[in-house]
Amino acid sequence: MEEKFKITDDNLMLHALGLLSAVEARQMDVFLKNNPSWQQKFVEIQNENELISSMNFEVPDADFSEKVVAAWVLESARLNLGEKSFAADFQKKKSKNWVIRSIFSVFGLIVFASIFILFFSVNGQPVADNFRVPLPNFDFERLFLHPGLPFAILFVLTLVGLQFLDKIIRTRQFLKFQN
Amino acid sequence: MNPIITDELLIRQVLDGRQTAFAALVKRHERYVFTLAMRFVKNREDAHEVSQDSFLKAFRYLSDFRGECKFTTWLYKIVFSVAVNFLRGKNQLLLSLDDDQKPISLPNLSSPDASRELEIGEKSTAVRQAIEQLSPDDSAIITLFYLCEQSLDEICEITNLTMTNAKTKLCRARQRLSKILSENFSEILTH
Repeated sequence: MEEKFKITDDNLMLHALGLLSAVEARQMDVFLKNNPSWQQKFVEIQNENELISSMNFEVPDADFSEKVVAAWVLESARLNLGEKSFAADFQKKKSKNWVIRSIFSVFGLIVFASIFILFFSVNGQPVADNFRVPLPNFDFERLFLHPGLPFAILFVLTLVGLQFLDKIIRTRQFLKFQN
Repeated sequence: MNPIITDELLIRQVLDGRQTAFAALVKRHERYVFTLAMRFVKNREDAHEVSQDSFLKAFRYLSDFRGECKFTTWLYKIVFSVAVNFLRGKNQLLLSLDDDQKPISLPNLSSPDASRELEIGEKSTAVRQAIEQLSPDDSAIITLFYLCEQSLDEICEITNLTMTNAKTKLCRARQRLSKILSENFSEILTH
Protein backbone atom coordinates (compact mmCIF):
# COMPACT_ATOMS: atom_id res chain seq x y z
CA MET A 1 0.00 0.00 0.00
CA GLU A 2 1.35 3.40 -0.95
CA GLU A 3 2.16 5.84 1.84
CA LYS A 4 0.27 9.10 2.08
CA PHE A 5 1.98 11.74 -0.07
CA LYS A 6 3.10 14.95 1.62
CA ILE A 7 4.44 17.92 -0.33
CA THR A 8 7.39 19.84 1.11
CA ASP A 9 10.10 22.09 -0.30
CA ASP A 10 12.62 19.31 0.36
CA ASN A 11 10.52 16.79 -1.58
CA LEU A 12 10.12 19.20 -4.45
CA MET A 13 13.88 19.80 -4.57
CA LEU A 14 14.62 16.09 -4.41
CA HIS A 15 12.18 15.53 -7.27
CA ALA A 16 13.90 18.21 -9.34
CA LEU A 17 17.24 16.53 -8.60
CA GLY A 18 15.82 13.16 -9.62
CA LEU A 19 16.39 11.68 -6.18
CA LEU A 20 12.86 10.55 -5.30
CA SER A 21 11.88 6.91 -5.57
CA ALA A 22 9.73 5.88 -8.52
CA VAL A 23 6.59 5.74 -6.36
CA GLU A 24 7.25 9.14 -4.79
CA ALA A 25 8.07 10.68 -8.17
CA ARG A 26 4.78 9.42 -9.61
CA GLN A 27 2.85 10.86 -6.68
CA MET A 28 4.71 14.14 -7.03
CA ASP A 29 3.90 14.35 -10.76
CA VAL A 30 0.20 13.84 -10.03
CA PHE A 31 0.32 16.48 -7.31
CA LEU A 32 2.10 19.02 -9.54
CA LYS A 33 -0.48 18.56 -12.30
CA ASN A 34 -3.19 19.62 -9.90
CA ASN A 35 -1.29 22.45 -8.19
CA PRO A 36 -0.09 25.15 -10.58
CA SER A 37 1.72 27.19 -7.90
CA TRP A 38 3.90 24.21 -6.95
CA GLN A 39 4.31 23.39 -10.63
CA GLN A 40 5.64 26.93 -11.15
CA LYS A 41 8.13 26.47 -8.30
CA PHE A 42 9.21 23.16 -9.81
CA VAL A 43 9.85 24.76 -13.21
CA GLU A 44 11.93 27.49 -11.55
CA ILE A 45 14.09 24.89 -9.81
CA GLN A 46 14.54 23.01 -13.06
CA ASN A 47 15.60 26.19 -14.83
CA GLU A 48 18.15 26.81 -12.12
CA ASN A 49 19.36 23.23 -12.45
CA GLU A 50 19.94 23.79 -16.14
CA LEU A 51 21.84 26.96 -15.38
CA ILE A 52 24.01 25.33 -12.72
CA SER A 53 24.78 22.40 -15.02
CA SER A 54 25.98 24.78 -17.71
CA MET A 55 28.34 26.50 -15.29
CA ASN A 56 31.90 26.82 -16.54
CA PHE A 57 34.83 24.89 -15.14
CA GLU A 58 37.60 26.69 -13.35
CA VAL A 59 40.68 26.56 -15.55
CA PRO A 60 44.09 26.07 -13.95
CA ASP A 61 47.22 27.83 -15.22
CA ALA A 62 48.36 26.75 -18.67
CA ASP A 63 51.51 25.10 -17.34
CA PHE A 64 49.73 23.28 -14.50
CA SER A 65 49.99 19.79 -16.01
CA GLU A 66 53.69 20.33 -16.81
CA LYS A 67 54.30 21.34 -13.20
CA VAL A 68 52.50 18.26 -11.91
CA VAL A 69 54.48 15.99 -14.23
CA ALA A 70 57.74 17.68 -13.16
CA ALA A 71 56.83 17.26 -9.49
CA TRP A 72 56.02 13.59 -10.11
CA VAL A 73 59.30 12.97 -11.94
CA LEU A 74 61.17 14.60 -9.05
CA GLU A 75 59.27 12.56 -6.49
CA SER A 76 59.84 9.32 -8.41
CA ALA A 77 63.57 10.08 -8.60
CA ARG A 78 63.68 10.76 -4.86
CA LEU A 79 61.76 7.58 -4.16
CA ASN A 80 64.10 5.53 -6.35
CA LEU A 81 67.08 7.12 -4.64
CA GLY A 82 65.56 6.33 -1.25
CA GLU A 83 64.92 2.72 -2.25
CA LYS A 84 68.45 2.38 -3.63
CA SER A 85 70.06 3.82 -0.50
CA PHE A 86 67.87 1.55 1.62
CA ALA A 87 68.89 -1.42 -0.52
CA ALA A 88 72.57 -0.43 -0.26
CA ASP A 89 72.24 -0.01 3.48
CA PHE A 90 70.54 -3.38 3.73
CA GLN A 91 73.25 -4.98 1.58
CA LYS A 92 75.97 -3.44 3.76
CA LYS A 93 74.30 -4.76 6.88
CA LYS A 94 73.89 -8.14 5.23
CA SER A 95 77.62 -8.29 4.45
CA LYS A 96 78.38 -7.25 8.04
CA ASN A 97 76.13 -10.04 9.23
CA TRP A 98 78.07 -12.42 7.02
CA VAL A 99 81.35 -11.42 8.72
CA ILE A 100 79.80 -11.84 12.15
CA ARG A 101 78.42 -15.25 11.19
CA SER A 102 81.82 -16.34 9.89
CA ILE A 103 83.59 -15.32 13.09
CA PHE A 104 80.90 -17.02 15.13
CA SER A 105 81.24 -20.19 13.01
CA VAL A 106 85.04 -20.31 13.46
CA PHE A 107 84.67 -19.73 17.17
CA GLY A 108 82.00 -22.42 17.39
CA LEU A 109 84.20 -24.80 15.43
CA ILE A 110 87.11 -24.26 17.83
CA VAL A 111 84.88 -24.93 20.85
CA PHE A 112 83.35 -27.98 19.20
CA ALA A 113 86.83 -29.33 18.23
CA SER A 114 88.09 -28.78 21.79
CA ILE A 115 85.17 -30.76 23.21
CA PHE A 116 85.72 -33.49 20.65
CA ILE A 117 89.45 -33.72 21.45
CA LEU A 118 88.71 -33.74 25.18
CA PHE A 119 86.44 -36.76 25.11
CA PHE A 120 87.36 -38.85 22.09
CA SER A 121 90.50 -39.94 20.32
CA VAL A 122 90.61 -40.71 16.61
CA ASN A 123 90.21 -44.46 17.20
CA GLY A 124 87.43 -44.07 19.76
CA GLN A 125 89.69 -44.38 22.82
CA PRO A 126 89.77 -41.70 25.54
CA VAL A 127 92.46 -39.11 25.03
CA ALA A 128 95.60 -39.58 27.08
CA ASP A 129 96.07 -37.31 30.05
CA ASN A 130 98.97 -35.44 28.47
CA PHE A 131 96.81 -34.63 25.41
CA ARG A 132 94.01 -33.07 27.43
CA VAL A 133 93.50 -29.39 26.93
CA PRO A 134 93.85 -27.65 30.30
CA LEU A 135 90.56 -26.03 31.34
CA PRO A 136 90.86 -22.37 32.30
CA ASN A 137 90.85 -21.88 35.99
CA PHE A 138 88.70 -18.78 36.34
CA ASP A 139 87.21 -17.43 39.51
CA PHE A 140 83.61 -16.75 38.38
CA GLU A 141 82.49 -16.02 41.91
CA ARG A 142 84.82 -13.04 42.05
CA LEU A 143 83.50 -11.78 38.73
CA PHE A 144 79.84 -11.94 39.73
CA LEU A 145 80.50 -10.30 43.07
CA HIS A 146 82.50 -7.44 41.54
CA PRO A 147 81.00 -4.04 42.52
CA GLY A 148 81.40 -2.72 38.95
CA LEU A 149 79.21 -5.46 37.43
CA PRO A 150 75.82 -3.65 37.76
CA PHE A 151 77.33 -0.57 36.07
CA ALA A 152 78.77 -2.70 33.29
CA ILE A 153 75.38 -4.37 32.72
CA LEU A 154 73.67 -0.98 32.73
CA PHE A 155 76.20 0.31 30.20
CA VAL A 156 75.65 -2.64 27.87
CA LEU A 157 71.87 -2.36 28.18
CA THR A 158 72.05 1.38 27.38
CA LEU A 159 74.12 0.63 24.29
CA VAL A 160 71.66 -2.03 23.12
CA GLY A 161 68.73 0.32 23.83
CA LEU A 162 70.31 3.15 21.85
CA GLN A 163 70.99 0.80 18.95
CA PHE A 164 67.35 -0.31 19.02
CA LEU A 165 66.12 3.30 19.15
CA ASP A 166 68.35 4.20 16.23
CA LYS A 167 66.84 1.34 14.20
CA ILE A 168 63.29 2.47 14.99
CA ILE A 169 64.03 6.08 14.00
CA ARG A 170 65.72 5.03 10.76
CA THR A 171 62.83 2.75 9.79
CA ARG A 172 60.25 5.44 10.58
CA GLN A 173 62.17 8.00 8.55
CA PHE A 174 62.39 5.64 5.61
CA LEU A 175 58.67 4.83 5.72
CA LYS A 176 57.80 8.53 6.03
CA PHE A 177 59.98 9.32 3.04
CA GLN A 178 58.34 6.55 1.03
CA ASN A 179 54.86 7.87 1.79
CA MET B 1 43.79 13.54 -27.47
CA ASN B 2 42.56 10.27 -28.85
CA PRO B 3 39.09 9.75 -27.35
CA ILE B 4 39.44 5.94 -27.64
CA ILE B 5 42.12 5.90 -24.96
CA THR B 6 40.27 5.17 -21.75
CA ASP B 7 41.35 6.10 -18.23
CA GLU B 8 42.01 2.42 -17.51
CA LEU B 9 44.39 2.14 -20.46
CA LEU B 10 46.20 5.31 -19.43
CA ILE B 11 46.49 3.98 -15.87
CA ARG B 12 48.07 0.76 -17.13
CA GLN B 13 50.53 2.81 -19.19
CA VAL B 14 51.36 5.02 -16.20
CA LEU B 15 52.02 1.91 -14.11
CA ASP B 16 54.32 0.69 -16.88
CA GLY B 17 56.27 3.91 -16.41
CA ARG B 18 55.10 5.88 -19.45
CA GLN B 19 55.42 9.55 -18.64
CA THR B 20 53.29 10.66 -21.60
CA ALA B 21 50.36 8.66 -20.23
CA PHE B 22 50.82 10.37 -16.90
CA ALA B 23 50.72 13.79 -18.57
CA ALA B 24 47.63 12.78 -20.57
CA LEU B 25 45.81 11.66 -17.45
CA VAL B 26 46.60 14.94 -15.68
CA LYS B 27 45.53 16.98 -18.71
CA ARG B 28 42.28 15.06 -19.00
CA HIS B 29 41.20 15.59 -15.40
CA GLU B 30 42.90 18.85 -14.41
CA ARG B 31 39.86 21.08 -14.91
CA TYR B 32 37.56 18.82 -12.86
CA VAL B 33 40.12 18.48 -10.08
CA PHE B 34 40.96 22.17 -10.10
CA THR B 35 37.29 23.20 -10.05
CA LEU B 36 36.59 20.92 -7.11
CA ALA B 37 39.67 22.24 -5.29
CA MET B 38 38.55 25.82 -5.98
CA ARG B 39 35.17 25.09 -4.42
CA PHE B 40 36.93 24.18 -1.20
CA VAL B 41 39.78 26.64 -0.87
CA LYS B 42 38.24 29.56 -2.78
CA ASN B 43 41.48 30.91 -4.22
CA ARG B 44 43.56 29.92 -7.22
CA GLU B 45 46.93 29.64 -5.51
CA ASP B 46 45.71 27.20 -2.87
CA ALA B 47 43.59 25.37 -5.45
CA HIS B 48 46.73 24.76 -7.53
CA GLU B 49 48.47 23.36 -4.46
CA VAL B 50 45.55 21.11 -3.52
CA SER B 51 45.16 19.92 -7.13
CA GLN B 52 48.85 19.11 -7.49
CA ASP B 53 48.95 17.29 -4.14
CA SER B 54 45.85 15.33 -5.15
CA PHE B 55 47.37 14.22 -8.44
CA LEU B 56 50.64 13.24 -6.77
CA LYS B 57 48.80 11.29 -4.08
CA ALA B 58 46.66 9.60 -6.73
CA PHE B 59 49.69 8.52 -8.73
CA ARG B 60 51.49 7.37 -5.59
CA TYR B 61 48.63 4.97 -4.89
CA LEU B 62 47.61 4.30 -8.48
CA SER B 63 48.56 0.63 -8.20
CA ASP B 64 45.91 0.34 -5.45
CA PHE B 65 43.14 1.44 -7.83
CA ARG B 66 41.26 -1.79 -8.54
CA GLY B 67 38.66 -0.39 -10.89
CA GLU B 68 35.81 -1.13 -8.49
CA CYS B 69 34.51 2.40 -9.09
CA LYS B 70 35.06 5.00 -11.79
CA PHE B 71 38.55 6.48 -11.86
CA THR B 72 37.03 9.94 -11.49
CA THR B 73 35.17 8.89 -8.33
CA TRP B 74 38.42 7.51 -6.87
CA LEU B 75 40.27 10.68 -7.90
CA TYR B 76 37.63 13.05 -6.47
CA LYS B 77 37.71 11.11 -3.21
CA ILE B 78 41.41 11.92 -3.00
CA VAL B 79 40.80 15.59 -3.88
CA PHE B 80 38.11 15.72 -1.20
CA SER B 81 40.43 14.28 1.44
CA VAL B 82 43.41 16.46 0.43
CA ALA B 83 41.25 19.59 0.42
CA VAL B 84 39.69 18.83 3.81
CA ASN B 85 43.15 18.22 5.30
CA PHE B 86 44.40 21.42 3.67
CA LEU B 87 41.59 23.45 5.26
CA ARG B 88 42.17 21.75 8.61
CA GLY B 89 45.85 22.66 8.34
CA LYS B 90 44.86 26.24 7.79
CA ASN B 91 42.34 26.04 10.61
CA GLN B 92 39.54 26.83 8.20
CA LEU B 93 36.97 24.45 9.57
CA LEU B 94 34.26 23.23 7.28
CA LEU B 95 30.89 24.57 8.24
CA SER B 96 28.19 22.03 8.67
CA LEU B 97 25.79 21.76 5.79
CA ASP B 98 22.94 21.52 8.21
CA ASP B 99 23.82 24.78 9.89
CA ASP B 100 20.95 26.95 8.74
CA GLN B 101 22.08 29.78 10.99
CA LYS B 102 25.26 30.20 8.99
CA PRO B 103 25.46 33.80 7.80
CA ILE B 104 25.87 34.13 4.07
CA SER B 105 28.44 36.73 3.17
CA LEU B 106 27.59 38.43 -0.07
CA PRO B 107 29.91 40.12 -2.52
CA ASN B 108 30.04 43.84 -2.55
CA LEU B 109 27.93 44.42 -5.64
CA SER B 110 28.65 48.12 -5.65
CA SER B 111 32.39 47.57 -6.11
CA PRO B 112 33.73 48.37 -9.60
CA ASP B 113 34.74 44.76 -10.28
CA ALA B 114 31.38 43.38 -9.28
CA SER B 115 29.52 46.01 -11.28
CA ARG B 116 31.59 45.22 -14.33
CA GLU B 117 30.86 41.53 -13.98
CA LEU B 118 27.18 42.28 -13.60
CA GLU B 119 27.28 44.41 -16.72
CA ILE B 120 28.74 41.54 -18.66
CA GLY B 121 25.64 39.69 -17.58
CA GLU B 122 27.03 36.23 -17.89
CA LYS B 123 24.74 33.86 -16.13
CA SER B 124 27.46 31.37 -15.48
CA THR B 125 29.50 34.07 -13.72
CA ALA B 126 26.50 34.75 -11.52
CA VAL B 127 26.14 31.08 -10.69
CA ARG B 128 29.86 30.84 -9.93
CA GLN B 129 29.65 33.88 -7.68
CA ALA B 130 26.67 32.38 -5.90
CA ILE B 131 28.49 29.08 -5.40
CA GLU B 132 31.47 30.94 -3.99
CA GLN B 133 29.18 32.21 -1.22
CA LEU B 134 28.42 28.69 -0.08
CA SER B 135 30.49 26.85 2.51
CA PRO B 136 33.28 24.64 1.12
CA ASP B 137 31.41 21.37 1.50
CA ASP B 138 28.16 22.86 0.18
CA SER B 139 29.87 24.07 -2.97
CA ALA B 140 31.85 20.84 -3.29
CA ILE B 141 28.73 18.65 -3.19
CA ILE B 142 26.99 20.91 -5.72
CA THR B 143 30.05 20.75 -8.00
CA LEU B 144 30.27 16.98 -7.70
CA PHE B 145 26.62 16.54 -8.58
CA TYR B 146 26.20 19.08 -11.36
CA LEU B 147 29.62 19.61 -12.91
CA CYS B 148 31.46 16.37 -12.27
CA GLU B 149 28.24 14.44 -12.95
CA GLN B 150 28.70 12.08 -10.04
CA SER B 151 25.70 10.02 -8.99
CA LEU B 152 24.47 10.06 -5.40
CA ASP B 153 26.13 6.67 -4.82
CA GLU B 154 29.42 8.06 -6.05
CA ILE B 155 29.05 11.18 -3.91
CA CYS B 156 28.55 8.89 -0.90
CA GLU B 157 31.75 7.07 -1.87
CA ILE B 158 33.68 10.32 -2.23
CA THR B 159 32.43 12.05 0.89
CA ASN B 160 31.99 8.98 3.13
CA LEU B 161 28.39 9.97 3.81
CA THR B 162 25.43 7.64 4.09
CA MET B 163 22.86 7.78 1.30
CA THR B 164 20.31 9.58 3.48
CA ASN B 165 22.85 12.13 4.70
CA ALA B 166 24.18 12.77 1.22
CA LYS B 167 20.64 13.27 -0.10
CA THR B 168 19.80 15.70 2.71
CA LYS B 169 23.06 17.59 2.37
CA LEU B 170 22.72 17.91 -1.39
CA CYS B 171 19.14 19.08 -1.03
CA ARG B 172 20.04 21.67 1.64
CA ALA B 173 23.06 22.92 -0.30
CA ARG B 174 20.90 23.29 -3.41
CA GLN B 175 18.25 25.20 -1.46
CA ARG B 176 20.86 27.57 -0.08
CA LEU B 177 22.22 28.14 -3.56
CA SER B 178 18.72 28.79 -4.82
CA LYS B 179 18.21 31.34 -2.06
CA ILE B 180 21.43 33.19 -2.92
CA LEU B 181 20.58 33.16 -6.61
CA SER B 182 17.07 34.51 -6.12
CA GLU B 183 18.11 37.14 -3.57
CA ASN B 184 21.18 38.49 -5.32
CA PHE B 185 21.27 37.48 -8.94
CA SER B 186 17.62 37.29 -9.98
CA GLU B 187 17.97 40.25 -12.36
CA ILE B 188 20.80 38.67 -14.28
CA LEU B 189 19.18 35.27 -14.34
CA THR B 190 15.85 36.52 -15.72
CA HIS B 191 17.48 38.40 -18.63
